Amino acid sequence: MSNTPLDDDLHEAMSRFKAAAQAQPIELPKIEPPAKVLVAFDQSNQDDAVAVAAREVCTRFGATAVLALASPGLDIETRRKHLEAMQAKLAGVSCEISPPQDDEDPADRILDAQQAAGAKFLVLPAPYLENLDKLGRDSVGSTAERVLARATTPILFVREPREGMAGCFGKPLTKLHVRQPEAADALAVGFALCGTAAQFRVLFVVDAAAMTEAAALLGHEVDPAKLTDQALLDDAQAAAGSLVAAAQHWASDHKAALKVDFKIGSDPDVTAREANDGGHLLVLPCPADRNSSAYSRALTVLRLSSVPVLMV
Amino acid sequence: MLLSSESSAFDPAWLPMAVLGVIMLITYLFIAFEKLHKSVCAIVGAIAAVVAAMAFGLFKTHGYHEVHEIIGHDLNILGVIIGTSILVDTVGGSGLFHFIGIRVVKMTGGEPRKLFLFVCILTFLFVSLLTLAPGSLLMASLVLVICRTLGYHPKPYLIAVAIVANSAALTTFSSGIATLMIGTAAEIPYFQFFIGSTPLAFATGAVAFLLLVKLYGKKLLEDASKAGDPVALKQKVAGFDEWAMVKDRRVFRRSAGVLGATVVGFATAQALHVGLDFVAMAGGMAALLFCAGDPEQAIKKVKWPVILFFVGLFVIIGAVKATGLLAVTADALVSLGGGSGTVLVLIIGGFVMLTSGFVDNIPVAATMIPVLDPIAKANPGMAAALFWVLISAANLGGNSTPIGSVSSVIALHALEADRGEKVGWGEYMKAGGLILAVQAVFVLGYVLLMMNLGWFPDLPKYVKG
Repeated sequence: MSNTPLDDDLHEAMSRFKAAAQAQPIELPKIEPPAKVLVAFDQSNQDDAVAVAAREVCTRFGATAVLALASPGLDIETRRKHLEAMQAKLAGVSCEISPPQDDEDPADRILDAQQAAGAKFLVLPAPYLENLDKLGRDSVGSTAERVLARATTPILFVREPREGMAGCFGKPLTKLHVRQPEAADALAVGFALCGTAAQFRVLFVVDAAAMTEAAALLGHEVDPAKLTDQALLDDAQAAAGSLVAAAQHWASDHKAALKVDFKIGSDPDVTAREANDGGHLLVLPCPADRNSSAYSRALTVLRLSSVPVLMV
Repeated sequence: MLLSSESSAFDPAWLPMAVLGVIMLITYLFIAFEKLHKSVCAIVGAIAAVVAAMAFGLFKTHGYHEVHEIIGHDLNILGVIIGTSILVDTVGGSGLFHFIGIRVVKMTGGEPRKLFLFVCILTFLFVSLLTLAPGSLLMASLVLVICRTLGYHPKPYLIAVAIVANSAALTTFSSGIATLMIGTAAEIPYFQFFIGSTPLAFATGAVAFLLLVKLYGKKLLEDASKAGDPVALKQKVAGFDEWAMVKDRRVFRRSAGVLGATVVGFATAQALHVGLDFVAMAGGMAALLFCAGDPEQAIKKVKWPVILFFVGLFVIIGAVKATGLLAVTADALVSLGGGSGTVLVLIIGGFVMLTSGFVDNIPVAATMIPVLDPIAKANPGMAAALFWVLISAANLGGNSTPIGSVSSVIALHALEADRGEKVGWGEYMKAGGLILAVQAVFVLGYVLLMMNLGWFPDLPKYVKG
């Protein structure tokens, strides 16, 4: 299609019906609130922001915060002072102090502390540095990357310290991809964390350049007429039906506000821009396969985001 | 009076009539045979008509400004088209119409005869609410997706959409552009539609459904048996999820509210002493304000070629009217009827049904309005019958050919785009022609019966004199 205005109108209307006709029932997993949340910090200027995020998470889940100081090479007294300072910032939240770890690598310390505490959720800083061109891959910090690469639980990365960060939890933005198995988990964890009072937003991004490249790699010729923005958005909408339906059913059952958006552009850029501009909590599905392109994309989004990012 | 005079002062008087009449005829032929884009045809025709009218000195009172008066007189039609277009695009974006469509399809369980019935009912509903083009487009796309999913052949369903849509355009004042034009010109009160054309909408829709079942019923069942196990198909249909299309529930609910309020607004506009264009514009703007509408996108989606087409058409007809040709035609029609209202209704009904099959029903309606107006003024008792037969014939006439109405053009184009299958004139006319013939008996019978029994309420415009 896409030859005449009538074809375009038909294509647009059909894409919606296709979404309904092709929708497969998706059961969102039931999320048990974690009893313990590991809160890692590193005496940086992000400690306050980590405390705000940890307070939100622990309060919303009714969980105990397990405090772990990730910086190596501190004497016991200094370490105790920092932990007590963090505990004071979390006044009102049940706290435990993680036993000291011997590891040199902060990432090992965090993961070992998590294992020792049996924490099913992580909160840790991932520095947000604006000069991304120069910093490249280091911009979220190597510790955050290594923890992400090895963790098996959701991680909330605290990025730029910002005013009113707690407000982000009231407006989560979940970025989904239609063929990502972790998408349902990301939705469910976002719903469980942010609760029914939040204004949920679900975002799908159509990356035309990536699609063309993938098609070329597979040896498929792409008809440029079919790559109009509207046609791409229509097709994305048709393909996303199952996830949209699952999200809307949850929202309906819990009387929550949920809005679905489809955008076109470079996936990481659009996602990060939408999240940063809107001051959202960004929820991202993160594939278990750390060599996959989806994992690389998720990491790039994390690097570009200045808002807290929850990787599921 | 719109123009300075309905009869030309040019001597000889027949010359401007002939020249403007030829310009109008050539324009209509170009539109009918699609030799040029119809908007271009109409505007070029309008330019030629204005030049001729100026040359013959037809615009005596205001000169060229009479062109603006002609357009201004019909601005309400343009306002309704623009307002409803914005409303439908914005409300449609919420997924409301798609939601209703899928919900209804799920009720059929995929059973072909039930599906066929519900396609007809939905077509009727959507066209009644959204007018012919958007309603047909929505239904054509629904049919394609459902048939593709269930493995049914979409042709019978699409032909049903094409034909039932024309009956639905008779339902209310605002269900079709031709209906709206005639209703506005004749100042027909909204509630009189429930006597004048709504019964015909239901009756002719039922006729269409029954004849289509007769023609395609066997094929529907054959296709369904080829499509596979009915239980599996039923499960497939039950698995459709209408919420998959809804982006924002709050916007969805607000959209339903704005659409409902606009429909109520259309029904009460006359009582509130405002035009339908006011209601349509208010509805369109409410949709943009409260239903997360994208103004740029919605305004871009307005069918501007249709607006240009209308502007051109109004100017041509205004100029022709100024020659007195339409008044002469009206006299000729009355003479042809030999003073009998029954014969006149039959002539008008037959002529309009025939021409609407080949030329867009809009120019036919636009031309016939100024022809019938003087007849109605001279015979107030007949006014209602004349305009009801014009409304019915102009809308249903499109059933006879594959190019006769917007709905058939959309449905057949959808079939061709999706399956690469063309429906020829012969094949279409076998169904459409037969259905129109039976519908014509209903329409003419009903109008004549109501007229002769004096059961049509008087049209206030003509009773006032």
